[in-house]
Amino acid sequence: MNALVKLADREMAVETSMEVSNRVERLKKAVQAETNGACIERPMLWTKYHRNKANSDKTTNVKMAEAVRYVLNNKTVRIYDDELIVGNFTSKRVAGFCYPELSGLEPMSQVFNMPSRKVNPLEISLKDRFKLFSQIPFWLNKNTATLAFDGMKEGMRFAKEQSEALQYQIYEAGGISHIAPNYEKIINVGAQGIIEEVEALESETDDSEKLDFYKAVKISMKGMAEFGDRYAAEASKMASVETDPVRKQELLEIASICARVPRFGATSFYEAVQSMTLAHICIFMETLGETTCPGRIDQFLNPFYEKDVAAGNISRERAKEILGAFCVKLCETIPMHGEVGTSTLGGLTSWEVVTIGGQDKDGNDATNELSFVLLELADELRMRQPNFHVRIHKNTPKAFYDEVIRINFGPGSAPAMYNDETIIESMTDIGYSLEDARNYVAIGCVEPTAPGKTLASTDAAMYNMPLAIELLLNEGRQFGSKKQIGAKTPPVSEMKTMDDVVAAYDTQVKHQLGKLRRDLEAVEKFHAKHHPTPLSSALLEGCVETGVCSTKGGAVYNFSGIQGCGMAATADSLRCIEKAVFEDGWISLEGLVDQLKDDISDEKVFTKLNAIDKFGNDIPEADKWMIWVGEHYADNIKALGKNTRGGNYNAGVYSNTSHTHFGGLVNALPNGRRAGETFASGFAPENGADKRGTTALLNSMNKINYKNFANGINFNIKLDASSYECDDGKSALGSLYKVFFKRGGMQVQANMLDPKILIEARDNPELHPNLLIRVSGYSAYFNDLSPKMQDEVISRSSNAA
Amino acid sequence: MRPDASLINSINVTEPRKASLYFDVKRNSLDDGPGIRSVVFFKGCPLSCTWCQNPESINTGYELSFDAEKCIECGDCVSACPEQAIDLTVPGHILRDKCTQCFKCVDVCPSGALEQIGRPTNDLEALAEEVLEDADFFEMSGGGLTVSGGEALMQMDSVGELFQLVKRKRDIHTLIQTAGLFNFSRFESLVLPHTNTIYFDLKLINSDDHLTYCGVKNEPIIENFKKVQALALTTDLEVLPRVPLIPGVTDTDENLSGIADLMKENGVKKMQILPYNPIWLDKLPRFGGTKRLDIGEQTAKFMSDAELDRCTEIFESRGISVHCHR
Ligand code: SF4
Ligand code: SF4
Repeated sequence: MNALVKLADREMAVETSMEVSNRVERLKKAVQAETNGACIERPMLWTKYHRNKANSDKTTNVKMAEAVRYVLNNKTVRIYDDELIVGNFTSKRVAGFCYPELSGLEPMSQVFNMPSRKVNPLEISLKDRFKLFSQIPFWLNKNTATLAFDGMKEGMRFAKEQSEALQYQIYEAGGISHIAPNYEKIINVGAQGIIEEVEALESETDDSEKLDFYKAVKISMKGMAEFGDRYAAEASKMASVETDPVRKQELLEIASICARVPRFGATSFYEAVQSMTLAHICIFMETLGETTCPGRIDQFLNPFYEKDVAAGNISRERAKEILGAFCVKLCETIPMHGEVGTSTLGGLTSWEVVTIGGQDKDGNDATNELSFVLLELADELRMRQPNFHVRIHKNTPKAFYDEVIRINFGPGSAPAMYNDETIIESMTDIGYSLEDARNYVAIGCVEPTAPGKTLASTDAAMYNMPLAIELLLNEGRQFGSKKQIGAKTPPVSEMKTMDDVVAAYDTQVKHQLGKLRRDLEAVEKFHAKHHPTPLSSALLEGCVETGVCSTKGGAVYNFSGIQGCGMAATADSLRCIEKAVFEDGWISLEGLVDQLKDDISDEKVFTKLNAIDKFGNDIPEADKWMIWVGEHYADNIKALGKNTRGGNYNAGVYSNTSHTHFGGLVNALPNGRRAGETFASGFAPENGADKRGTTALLNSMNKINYKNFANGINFNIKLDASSYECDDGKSALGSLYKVFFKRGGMQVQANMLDPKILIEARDNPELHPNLLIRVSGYSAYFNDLSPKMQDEVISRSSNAA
Repeated sequence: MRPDASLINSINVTEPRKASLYFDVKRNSLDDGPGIRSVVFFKGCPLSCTWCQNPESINTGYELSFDAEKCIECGDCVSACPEQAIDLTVPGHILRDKCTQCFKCVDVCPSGALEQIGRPTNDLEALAEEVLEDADFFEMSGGGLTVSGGEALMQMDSVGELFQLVKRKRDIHTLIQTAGLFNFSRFESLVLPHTNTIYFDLKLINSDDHLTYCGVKNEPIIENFKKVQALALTTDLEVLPRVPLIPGVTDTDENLSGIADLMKENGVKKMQILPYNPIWLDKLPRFGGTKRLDIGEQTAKFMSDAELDRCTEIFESRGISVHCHR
C-alpha cells in the first residue's frame, strides 16, 4: 500500500467528525474523490511560446514574463460546483505538471509509465502522453542540466548524478521556489499598484538592465490581472445560465470580486483571500510552484477580518468557510515527479505551509481569532495540504497552546511546532533584522524565513551524510566499487587512532561538499541567466526597489540551504568505531570493514554493534558524537562562503523522504545497520536506537545547539497515542514540549502511534523497539510481548480508536 | 528466599536484613501519579500475590533473567560460566539449581538475553542523580518520583534517604505505591516526612482469602490503611486507595462492597480501580517462574467496559469517586 492510499484512508476516517461547514466538507469530498492526474497545459503552452520565432529575439526577462502571461491568458479556466474561492492550477481538478525548461525532462521521459507506476501514479491520457513526450527534443539543449554546465559532457554527468542522487541531490535544479511571497502586498495594492510603482521607478533610471527587468515585471503583472478577469468572465457566464438563485448570486459575487482582484487592492476579507489564491497560482506558472508558502495568513488577513467584523459584513463562520475553501484549494496541486523525485520527495505533498501564531515585530504575542480558526481547520480538514505549522513562544496563550496539543491527536499528522525563541536568535545570527526574524514563517518542510523579502532557496540541496563513513573506510570508494567518488583517504590499515578516522571523515565531507557547491553554483547561475522570475520577484521586497531579479540577488535576504541527511547514522557509526575498535578492542578496524563489506554476516558482530549505546538515550559518550557531527557539518557549510546571490550557505537537518532513498544506496555501516536500510528522518535517532524513553530522548535532543541550523531542523518524535490521549496525558505531552523548547529545542512534530503502528511493530519489531505499553506499575515494551499478547494489545487499542 | 509470611504477620517487621536492591527505573511514566514521573522499583515483597505483575520483584535477592527471544545461541555464556549452569540444549538454558548468581555470563552476553535483575541501593546518590535527569520534566508537569516494587517500604531507610536526596536538589513530588504491609512507626519517622502521596493497594477484604491469594493475612494491612487514611484527613498527605481487579478473585461484588464499606467508614472520597492486565503472563518464564493463578479463559484477556462499569458503580454508590484508565 503506498503512502497516498494510507493517507486517504485516514482522511476518510475523520469524516464523521466533521465540524467544518457543509460547503467546505463538500469541497473536500469532491477534491478527495478525484484521481490524481498530470496536466500538460503549462508545458505545452510554454513550449508553444518558445517555439514561436517572433519571440526568439526578445530578452530573457521579457520572454519569461511573456511566456507566463501567455500561459495565464490561455490555460483552462474552471469554476467548480460550490466553490467560493476560485482558481485552478491545471486543467484537471487535482493534478501536477512539469517544467520542461528546468528538470521536467525526467518525468516527461517516463510519462508513459506515469499512470501505472507503483508509487504515486498519475492519470494522463494516451494522447496527452504522446503530446508531452513529443516536446522533449525541443528542450533537450535548453534545460537546467544542459545550460548550467559547460559542454554536453558535464551536463550529462550532472543529469546522471541527479537521477541517481547518491552523494547529494541539487533540488534547486528543478526551480528555486521556496518562498513566502509578499501576498500582503498584492492584497493591498494589487497588480496595478505594482505596475504603478514600477513605472515611477522606470522614470528614475536609464540602466538598460533594470529597465528590461521592469518591463518584464509589468508584463507579468498584467498577466496576473488578466487572469482575474478571466474568472470574472467565466463566473458571469455561468451565472447567466445558473438556475439555482442562491448559486447564481454567489457566482455574481465571484465575478465582481475577480473583476477587482488581483488587479486592484482588496476591499474585504473575501477579496483578500481570493486575491492571494490567484497570485499563488500565477507563481506556479512561472517557476516550480511546490513550496510556495502562503505564510502567516492569520496575521496579514487579520486587518481585513477585523474591519469586516466591525462593519458587520462577516461572521466568524463565514470567514472560516472562506479560509476552509482556500485550504482545500491548496490540495488541488500535486507535484509531478519522476522516479528519483518520487523516491526522495515522496508522498505527493506540495509543501504549501501556513504558519499560525507567534510574535509580532515587537516581540508581543500575535495570536488572534484567525489563528484559532486555522487551528480548527487543521484539526477538521486533515488533508495533505496545507501543512499547518505552529509558532510557540513563552507568551503563547494557554488556550492556544492547549488547542495545539489537542489537535496532536487524531488521524493524519500533527502540526509541526516551532520554538520562536531559538529560531529568532538563529535568524538574527545569520543576518536577519530582529524585526524580520520575529515575523518568520516556515517554508517547505521546516525552514524559517522572513516572508516577502527572502530568497533563501532553503531546499537547494540534500546531502547524503553517512556515505562519508563508507567512503572513509574504503579510500573514497563504496564497498565493492572501483569508482573513486570520494577523496582518496588512507587505507584503514593505516588508521591507528580515532583521530585518524575523524581526519578521514573530515576530508570526505569537505570533498563532497566542495563538489556539491560547484554544482549548486552552476545551477544558481543558470537560474539568474536563463530562468529569471519577474513575477515572483515582484512579490519579494528588494527586487522592484533595486531593479534586480530575485534570481540575481535582488531580494532583501539571500541564502542557500543545504540539508544533511542521516546525521544519527553518521554519529552512531563514529561512536561504534570508537567503542568497538579503540575502546573495547574486540574487533580491529580492518576486521570491522571486512564485516561491513560482507553486510555484517557474523551475527555476533551484528549483535554487539547493535548493543552499543547510540544517540538518543541521554548517554554522554554517544550523544557527544551527534553534537560533534552536527557542529562539524554546520562549520563546513558556513565555510562554503557566499552563494552566487551574495548570501550565505545555511545548514539544515531534515530529510523529506531522502533518508530512505540515501539509505537504500549506502552499504553496511559500523552502527550495525545493514546495506540498504533506511536512515532516520531529520534529526531523530536511528530507528530503534533510543531505548530509554521519551524524556531521555529529549535530554539528548537538548544537547544540540540548534542555532547552528538556521535553515531548520525536523525532529519527528514517535509517541504512543494511547498513553497521551487522556487529559492527563495531553497535559504531560504539553509539558514534554515545553521543557524541550525552554531548553532551546527548535522544532518538533509528533508521530502518534495508533493501532496500525502497533501492527507494524508486531510485523517489523526492529522499527519500534521502544513502544511502551501503558500499564500502571509495570514497564512493558510492546516488542517484549509474545505474539499472542501483542495481538491482544492491538485489538484493545483498535477498540479504543 | 521470600520472607516467611506467618513470621511477618507476627512481628510486623518487613525489612530484609541483607541485600537492599532495586530492579528498574522507569522513566516518563504517566500512570504512576501526577505529571511525568520516574518510578524506582524496589526488590522484595512480603506478599506473594498469585497475579503479581512484577514476578521479578517478589524475591529480595538478585536474579538472573534469560530472554530466549533475544538469544543468538552464540555460546559465549556457556564458556564463561564457572558452574556449568548453562546448557543451550535445554529450554530456558539456565540450570537454576546449579547457578550461583555470579553473573559472569551476563558480562559476556552480546545480545542482552542474559540480564542481572537487581542493582544494589548502596549508592543512593547515584540513583538520585539518575532520577533527577528528568527533573525538568517533573517540575514542568507537577510530576516527580514514585517508588514501587515489590514493596518499597520493606526498605524504609533507602526510600527515606532517596526522597530526601531528590528533594534537597529539586522541588519535586514524591509518591509511594504500597501493598500496605509495613512497620508504621518506622514509616512515620523515616519516610512520611518526605512523602507527598501514598497509593495504597487493598486487595481482598476477607483475611483468609488474602492469605490464600497473597500469602499473608490482611489485618496488619487494614490497620496501616486506617492510620494513613487518618493522616490524609488531618495533614497534607494525600492518599489514594487502589484496588487491582482480578476477575473472579478481587472483582466480586462481595469483595468490592466490603472494601468500599471500609473506605467509606474511613472517609475516603476518591479511589482508583486497576483493571486486570494479562501481560504479566509473558514475563514469568524468564525467571524460571510458573503460573500460579488460573482464572480460566479470562487469564489472557483485558476486562470489558461493562465489567468495569459494574465495579465502578459499587464505589460510586457509596459516594466515592472512581478513577480508572481504560
Ligand atoms: S550467573 Fe554465574 S553461575 Fe549462573 S549461569 Fe551465569 S555464569 Fe553461570
Ligand atoms: S551469551 Fe547470550 S546470546 Fe550468547 S548463547 Fe548465551 S544467552 Fe544466548
